[in-house]
Amino acid sequence: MLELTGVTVSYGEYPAVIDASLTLQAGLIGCLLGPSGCGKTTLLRTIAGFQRPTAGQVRLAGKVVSTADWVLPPEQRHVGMVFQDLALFPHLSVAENIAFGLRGASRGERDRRVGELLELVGLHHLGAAYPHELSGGQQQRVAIARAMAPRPKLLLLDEPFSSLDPELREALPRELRRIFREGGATVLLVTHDQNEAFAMADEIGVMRAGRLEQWDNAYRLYHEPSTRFVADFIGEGVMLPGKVIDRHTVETELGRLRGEMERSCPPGTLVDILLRPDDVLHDDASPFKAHIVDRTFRGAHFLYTLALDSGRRILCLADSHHDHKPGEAIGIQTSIDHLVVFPQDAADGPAVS
Amino acid sequence: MPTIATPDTLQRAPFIQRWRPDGWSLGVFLIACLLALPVLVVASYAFYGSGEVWSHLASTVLPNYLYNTFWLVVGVGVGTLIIGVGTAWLTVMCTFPGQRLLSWLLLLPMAIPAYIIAYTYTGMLDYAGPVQSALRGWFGWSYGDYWFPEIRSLPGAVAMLTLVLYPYVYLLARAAFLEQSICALDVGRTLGLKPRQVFARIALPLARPAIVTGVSLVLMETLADYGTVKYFGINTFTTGIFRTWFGMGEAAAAAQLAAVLLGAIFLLILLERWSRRQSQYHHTSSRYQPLPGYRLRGLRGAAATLACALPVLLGFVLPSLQLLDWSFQTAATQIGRDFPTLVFNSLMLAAVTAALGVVLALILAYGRRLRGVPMVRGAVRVAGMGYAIPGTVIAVGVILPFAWLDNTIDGWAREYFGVSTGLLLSGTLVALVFAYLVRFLAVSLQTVEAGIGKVGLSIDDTARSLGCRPGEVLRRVHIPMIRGSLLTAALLVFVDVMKELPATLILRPFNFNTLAVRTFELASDEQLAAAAPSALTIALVGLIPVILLSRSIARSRPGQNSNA
Repeated sequence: MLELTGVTVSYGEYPAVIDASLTLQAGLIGCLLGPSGCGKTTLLRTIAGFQRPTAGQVRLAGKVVSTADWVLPPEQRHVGMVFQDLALFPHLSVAENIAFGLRGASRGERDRRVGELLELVGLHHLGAAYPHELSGGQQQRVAIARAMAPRPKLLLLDEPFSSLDPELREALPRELRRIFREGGATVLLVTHDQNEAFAMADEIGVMRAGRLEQWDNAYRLYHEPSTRFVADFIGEGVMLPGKVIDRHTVETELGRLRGEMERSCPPGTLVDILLRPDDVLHDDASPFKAHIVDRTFRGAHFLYTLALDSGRRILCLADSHHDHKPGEAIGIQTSIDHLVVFPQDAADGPAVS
Repeated sequence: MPTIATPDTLQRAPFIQRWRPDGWSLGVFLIACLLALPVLVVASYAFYGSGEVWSHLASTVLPNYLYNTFWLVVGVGVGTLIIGVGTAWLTVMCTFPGQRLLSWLLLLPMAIPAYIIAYTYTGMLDYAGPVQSALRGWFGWSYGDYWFPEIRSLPGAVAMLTLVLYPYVYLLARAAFLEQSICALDVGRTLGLKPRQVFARIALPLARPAIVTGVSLVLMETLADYGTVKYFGINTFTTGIFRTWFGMGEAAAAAQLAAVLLGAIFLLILLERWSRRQSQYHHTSSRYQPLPGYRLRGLRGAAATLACALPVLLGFVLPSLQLLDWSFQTAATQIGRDFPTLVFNSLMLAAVTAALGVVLALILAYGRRLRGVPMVRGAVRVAGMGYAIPGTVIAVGVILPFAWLDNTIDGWAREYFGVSTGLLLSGTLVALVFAYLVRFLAVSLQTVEAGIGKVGLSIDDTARSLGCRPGEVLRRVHIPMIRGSLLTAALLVFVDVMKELPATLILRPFNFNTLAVRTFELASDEQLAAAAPSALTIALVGLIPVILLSRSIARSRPGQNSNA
């Protein structure tokens, strides 16, 4: 449905998005994730047609809609967009807001569609209300219903949860996922919060400094990050230095780690290997010991920060009935399927601390 | 690594960087050019070689013009500064009997044009007027026994203009005092300053940019005044332009005089801009607490009440009563005749200009929002400059190009069709309305821009993504959302047109009269009482925006009213 190839967007001399490519299939929910100022909103606005790319192209349902030379105006794209501040029209009622984009339809058709959407977002009793009478979550759903009403080919959401109360931010993503699924929408949203991204999206793109570092599903982003930044930004973890022995083995301070290695490195290469907290198991029988530096209670688990003999810190997720105090030494064991390694001399980003 | 655009740079980045000609930017640009034409025409005369007439003017009347204009500006500037800032401080920072009422009554003199108050006072203070008659009655004086100040003089003109213009300074100084954080003032008190010292050493410097803006507005109005100085027989640039053109028939020399006046105005604009640039240092805390309200009791309270009541009495109450009295005497004869025509003419001109002004302001404001390139922004700014330009100057700047156009068309038609088209535009209402638009567009533009600026940009983008072309966004979203601002804009232009005198005098079609013109003509013929009904009508219409302003003043203090 949506296809970006080599999209670069600049403001004067400042490149905001550099060479971004991605594909989003119809009916899926995609998400651009990254720290603020990484260019994700710019990319969204480029897809909507508010911004002209300086290079590359945007294809929508197979047709080219943006190139450096020509941009199809936003009003002709059939792309719905929900802005961070929702931008409900204050002079129109909820039903009139939703009907705003339904021009050319007969009155009956329009009323039917508005009714359908009010039902879908669970606001059927509020059609006559005005935006200022609604709660934040209700306004959010009106904005989404309004954008979905003309059955856009693609729905774009810019930080959809940033203006909501913390409680709503928990519940709404799942609710929206249901709405989008039932409404058959293809969605691309932008957020800086990975919990929201994981709760909503089928495909997630991690952006940093204008570059789309990886476009993948959540599982692969977590377990097979393709850059150090993605490894650091998604989930928790540390980098442990090691030396490649062969295609399945890396020698480290915690012994030889074995597993599938995505990136093939010649034996002898010095690498950093990504160690997630759940890769490190608590095992009193293990010959490898580490001192507890700090611990955080997480309900079912403790997240221990451990110091190895070399002084290097690693994270370990252990069942919360293993209750050890800071200062104690515990035995640890690694358990890794995929070895995620980054050559130490590669300058593809800052090392993870 | 390349610098990455942050949300800040994103906000300022225009939608399209390069200027590509399209309907909106071209439209905005053309409108701005058209509106800037009169000013450009007059300004171009500043660079013309000075002719014989000019050197004659320069050696004879020019020093006199300069002398009068200079003292007029100084006098009115100082007068409005003292009255405006003083009353603003008293009404904002102190509590005394009648303070709340006076804080909006002080605006009333704005409703009355200076030329009307000038002739009203002339009538009140002349030999046969009520004041001198009463004095003679009380003291048994007779003619020649006593000295009485001549109102029709330079000091008189200063007094008249001060009385009706001080509200500009009052309004802006008041707003500035209200915005000041009480903390800054309290710190002054804890450091041992007396209230009077707090005013002089903290509040006044903080409010300075706003006060400078107010005074420069006053001075622009002073330079633009024609009715008062003409009636008082004081030669200034505006009367000089008039006389040079119509008395001597010297268009070029008149335009050169106008260019000199324009130069003075630009100096004022620069001064105002410069002082506003300074204002960025003057931002104090955004937290507001109730103002201290120094209690003034007894004699000091009475003195404060009197100080604030006096400008209202002199600037509004007394002249209004006099006009009312005269109107009762002459209404029967005046209203019966062509009075309805006068009212209709005035209202019609004001309504047409107001409607056009709002439409143009909408196009300019929205065009600027839509295409924020420097070229469009500059064009909009130029279009809004006319308000600083005196009506006489604009009239000159309108006549010259219109006459040229008429003559060109006439010559062309005679050459090809053998018919004379005569004057198509000069001396028609089209020229007059055009001049009004040049002068007053800034008023509607400012109001509309303020209104449209409150609409978030994402509202536009949302409407676009829902399938609206830019024009439709304006029609379906902006216009309904900013209806209040549009009405206010129309009203302000309406009233300004009703009051306008010099451009109307110069540009009106033959035998076409408005209330303002009739008032001025009758007053100039010393039929002061007969002029009263028209004058009173203008003042009544002028009250409408003053009342609107005073209502907004009542809820102007952030944090003080919980419903803000």
